[in-house]
Amino acid sequence: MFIEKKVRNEYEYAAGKLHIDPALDSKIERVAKMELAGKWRLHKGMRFRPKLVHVAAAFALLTGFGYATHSLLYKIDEGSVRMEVQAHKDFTLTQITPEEIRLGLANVENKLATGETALVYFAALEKEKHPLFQQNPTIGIEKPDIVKDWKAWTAVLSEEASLSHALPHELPDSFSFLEGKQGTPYGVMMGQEGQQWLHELQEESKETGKSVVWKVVPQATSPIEAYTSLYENKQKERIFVTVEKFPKEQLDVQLSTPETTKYDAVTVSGKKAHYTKNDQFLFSESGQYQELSWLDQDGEQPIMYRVATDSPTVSKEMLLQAAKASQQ
Amino acid sequence: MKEENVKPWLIRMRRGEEEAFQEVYRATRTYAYNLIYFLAPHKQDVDDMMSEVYVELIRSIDRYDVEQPFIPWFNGLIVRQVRNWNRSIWRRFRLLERVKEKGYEAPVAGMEDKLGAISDELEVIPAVEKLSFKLKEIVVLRYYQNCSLEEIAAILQIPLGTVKSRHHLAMKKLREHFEHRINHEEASFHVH
Repeated sequence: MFIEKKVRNEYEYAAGKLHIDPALDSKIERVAKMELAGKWRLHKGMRFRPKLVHVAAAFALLTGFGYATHSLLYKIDEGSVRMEVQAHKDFTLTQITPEEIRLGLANVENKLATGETALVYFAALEKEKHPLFQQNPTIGIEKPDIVKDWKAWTAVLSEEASLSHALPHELPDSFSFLEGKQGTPYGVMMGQEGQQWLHELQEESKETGKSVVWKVVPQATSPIEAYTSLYENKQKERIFVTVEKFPKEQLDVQLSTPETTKYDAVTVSGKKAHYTKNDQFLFSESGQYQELSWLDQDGEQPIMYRVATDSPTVSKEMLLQAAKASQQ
Repeated sequence: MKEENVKPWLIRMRRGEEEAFQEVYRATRTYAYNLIYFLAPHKQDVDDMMSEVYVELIRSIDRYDVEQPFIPWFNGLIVRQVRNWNRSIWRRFRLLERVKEKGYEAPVAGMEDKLGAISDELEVIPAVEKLSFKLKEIVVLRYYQNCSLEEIAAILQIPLGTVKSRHHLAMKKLREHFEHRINHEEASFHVH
């Protein structure tokens, strides 16, 4: 019994010597306040979970489809990159509401550990009219590692994303860097491997009668490495600057967007850029998503820049100014 | 921490009352911190783990059955968060590792070992720290938390037999370490 008594005594003694930094109390108080506020909104059905706007891209990556019902919004064909953005009819959901999808995804995300990715299956999506939903009734979601330290994040962008120029800490209209993460602003770009779990999830849904089932999956191996920097101002408006490192090999990407999406060809720092405004975004509570994108070359490395916002009050001009600032 | 002092606040916390959370935090913070500290493999992560524990408490409080004792349920939550942290840490490491190799050291607050001042007085805890996490969590719950083996099985959601065998193995390793240490000290004494 000697060792048992000794370890017990040592723990008692050591516990008396530990102390909690008051700064930690303040931090937890702040974090808890935000979490409680979010929880309260969730109870009222208002929780904003802006995680999955890029799901259209994820769907497109899964299939490489082509339908008679689409019209071409714009096309990029430069070097090794071919990208088509198509507007689709009948993208509206009839079997499930965006709120139900957001809630289902939020529930799953809450159960994930930091760094984990999950594939979520919605049985209702399979009953939708649009073949894109029928063929891909799953949505990838992750709980990302967040880097809040600016110096560490710029080092990640420089070393991992191979950016030869630094992004600014501030953007026009008083936007400041808030945090960075690997990946797109919302959702996960899930490649072909997403299909291998579809059958398993369909079976589980049938057996259990659950309309939403999910599983933790290995980190998606997307051909595109994305890094997103989030900027916020005092009005809590948000701008995402995403750097997508494309492979040097030939890459064909097809993206889908609802037919109501507006498009303008614009210029950013002398480069041809594309502005889209989608007012039927499935996964943002405002239903809106604006994006400016352009393809650039960093040495031999093709890089796609996306400057986007889900804040309805951010104007096209503000996005253009932010895009220009990101290149200086 | 007394169950009866915390429970009324837990019920109010479920309704989203901030004040109730503050009371729960005040009543549980030392308890939670010490347990996390003794479980954590990397002590510099303890503050972040502590934050995660309380975020998780808020998120999962609706699943807590108020008819059941709170402390074992809270113990389970803490152990799961520390485990999850361990699982995810490799990704964090991977992301920053190559950056670190280039000469940038990410700042980490409170890196100093809080038990550094009394480390010379501790003989067994340093050996517990060297055990695998599966063995260490048994030792911490049994000898710091005074949980019975049955309670540990319930907290970790593993069979009682597994708890017994891990406990046996952990104590065997600690005894071996301690005997080796005593022999070594005796040998040193003879040299002098």
